[in-house]
Amino acid sequence: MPGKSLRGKRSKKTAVTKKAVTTTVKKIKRTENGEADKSLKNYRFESKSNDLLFHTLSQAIRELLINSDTAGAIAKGLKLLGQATEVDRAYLFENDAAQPGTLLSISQRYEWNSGTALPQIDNPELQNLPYTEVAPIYDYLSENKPYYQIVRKMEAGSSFRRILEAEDIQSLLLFPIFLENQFWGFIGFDECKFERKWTEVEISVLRGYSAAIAAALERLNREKSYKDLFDTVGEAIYIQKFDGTFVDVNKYACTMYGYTKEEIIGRTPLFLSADGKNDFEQIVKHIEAAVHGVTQQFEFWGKKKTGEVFLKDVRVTKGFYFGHERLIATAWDITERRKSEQALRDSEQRFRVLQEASFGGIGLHDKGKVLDCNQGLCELTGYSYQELIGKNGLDLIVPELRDFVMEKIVSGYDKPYDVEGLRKDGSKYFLEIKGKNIPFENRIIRVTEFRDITERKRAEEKIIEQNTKLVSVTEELRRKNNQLEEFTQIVSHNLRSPVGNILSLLSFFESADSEDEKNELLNLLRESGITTLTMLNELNDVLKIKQSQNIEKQELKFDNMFHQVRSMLNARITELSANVSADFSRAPILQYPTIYLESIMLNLLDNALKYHSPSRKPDIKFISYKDHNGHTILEAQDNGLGINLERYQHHVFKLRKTFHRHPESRGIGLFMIKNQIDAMGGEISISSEENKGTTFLINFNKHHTDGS
Amino acid sequence: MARKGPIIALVDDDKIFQLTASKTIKSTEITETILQFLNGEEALQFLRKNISDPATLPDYIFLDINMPYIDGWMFLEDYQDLKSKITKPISIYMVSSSIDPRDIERAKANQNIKDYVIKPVTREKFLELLKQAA
Repeated sequence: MPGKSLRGKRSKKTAVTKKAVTTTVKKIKRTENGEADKSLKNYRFESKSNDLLFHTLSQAIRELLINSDTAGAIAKGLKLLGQATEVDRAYLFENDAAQPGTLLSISQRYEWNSGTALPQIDNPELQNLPYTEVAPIYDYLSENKPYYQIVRKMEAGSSFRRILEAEDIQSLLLFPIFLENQFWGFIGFDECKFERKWTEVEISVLRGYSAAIAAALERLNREKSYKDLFDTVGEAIYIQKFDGTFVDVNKYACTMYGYTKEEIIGRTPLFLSADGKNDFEQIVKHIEAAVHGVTQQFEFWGKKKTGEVFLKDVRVTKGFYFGHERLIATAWDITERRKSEQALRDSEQRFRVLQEASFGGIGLHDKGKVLDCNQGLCELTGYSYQELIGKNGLDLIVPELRDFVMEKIVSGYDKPYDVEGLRKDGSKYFLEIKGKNIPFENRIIRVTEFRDITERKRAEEKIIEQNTKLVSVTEELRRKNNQLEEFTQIVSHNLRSPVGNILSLLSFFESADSEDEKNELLNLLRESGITTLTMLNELNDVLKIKQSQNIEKQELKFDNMFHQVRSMLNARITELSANVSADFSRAPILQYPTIYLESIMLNLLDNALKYHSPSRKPDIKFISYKDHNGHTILEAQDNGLGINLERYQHHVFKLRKTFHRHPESRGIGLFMIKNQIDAMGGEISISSEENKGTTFLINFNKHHTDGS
Repeated sequence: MARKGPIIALVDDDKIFQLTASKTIKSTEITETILQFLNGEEALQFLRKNISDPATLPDYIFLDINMPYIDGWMFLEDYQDLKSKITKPISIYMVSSSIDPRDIERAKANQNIKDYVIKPVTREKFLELLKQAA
């Protein structure tokens, strides 16, 4: 075992120096043997040494108080007391930190040696020496009692006695040291020269010193704790004089700036300030206030050793620091916090800008109650921002649509819809609303966009109006085109036919043999000529109608015209015993060209009479009224033959089309009146059933947009 | 009058055309048998009446478009229904004074129309049409 071999070595050394020790001891022993002057000598020695002891104690304690190097002070104190008591060794042991599973042990920390005894400071046995090896001192010391003993009187063969004897100790005195009521260690004094008995004074002086050491160590511990606290705290701490000069700074303050403590101490905050970023006048005011005992908090732009600038929050309080009134400043870097705050503000700002730039109004609301809105909504509604906040958003809608809007809000409808808005001044406007539910602080609120669509509505109306006009123009063109096609048809069929006949007849005439034949052909030629002329006249009439759309209109009474027409056909009516009646009470008057209305009514009545059913008495009725568009309608109903419209629908109003093998059919009447009605922007239609009757319906103003 | 040549039907409301066309056809000496109808209805009635008697039915029909009551187009509609019951092949020519392209197109699109002929129709044209059909 290394311990054993070391002890063996040391034993040899001890043997070498034993002679000198023995000599000294003998000498003292001899003196002690003179019994006569023993008590006097003792008294003198004691009184002299008592003075010395008290003086030495005060010196040793003073060392502990004034020497910032506590270890040095203890070493010096042990030496002074050791010398004064003429012991061979004075030393200090510290309890080792208790570790689980191991015995409580002690280690020697300081030793003074008289020079006569062998120094033990390097004795490895005196490091981590378990208390069990030195029993029974633990029982005394841990109870805060001194331990003193004559080695010779100790239990023979105990390990403690063996250790003491190995160090030539004859008598020893130990005093416990308690720190914060905890057994910490002890100081001790060895006498190797004789079996010394410790005097009361020696004991109390050494007890006093042990207490002084305890106090010094406690102070040291506190200072160390404070230092640790000072340096490990995650805030920068600056101790400043009232003029701002740094007296002390902690480790974090150094880290914050990248300077060493030495570089900072003795400087003022100006040294740490970012150029031109701090208002020192203001800072001086803060410092003055802090000096007056008012804690101050402000921001300070610092500049690191690297030149990097950062922002910190500083808190300055007046306080004591090692006996002086100082300013104690604590600071923490808030650059990052400030950055994120700035980012948040920027983002809010951007959001605001976006909101403000929006051409519509935007409101945030909770079930209608406005939480926030943009300037656009203020402009749109005429309310101020303050007026809108907290307002019921439904107040911005006309009352009759509020339920409708609330329904949309409740259902979370998120598509745009049109309503009518109500401004502060009571005016109404077309409004497009689009809302969206969004989660906000653990609830659902609604963002609603308001868009003034008055312009759009106006444009829409204009477009609809234009479109209506276009449709009407197109319709007009289509009708004109149809008329043109019809005209082509007429020319193609009705005019070319007789002319072709004339040519054919002429060629026969040229090759005719007999006069009779020639005469017959001449008659036919004349007939064809007349047909051609009639056709041309009829065409001329149609063309005249088509060209005379601006023909003068008169205010006509249906009743008057009806009687006139009726009297013209009176003979036929009487002949057929027809029942002809009329009711124009619902629309008695019409603005129309006289000859046209006469032609229309005459033809309709003539047709009704002409195509009567032979099996029943003709019943003919004319009525007029206004339709839902305000257009004047004329209806002519009969109970005549009727027309198979499935077959003849497209022929009804064509020239030279007849639907009955009737000798009077010329196929001109309906064609003519249709042209007249068309020319005046009206429309004629027919409904009929064979053998039941026919109704003609004339809408005089069908294509008039002005409703006249 | 002994039967000679094919039976021809003229359907036209124009009496002068009926006269000149009959004279012209007769002058070709192809046939003596010319049936005259003043509108489509009369012609249809004749066809219906003699539908099972091919010897009486015409071989050729010269059909006008523009007629009162039942015109040429309506005749063709009804003829389409009768056609399956008629055992004799009948060649129908549309004969009109109309030079309107829409009429010509419409006629040519009708499968029952052999050709469209513009009035007046000369002797040579009749000869050509009758020979062509034969």
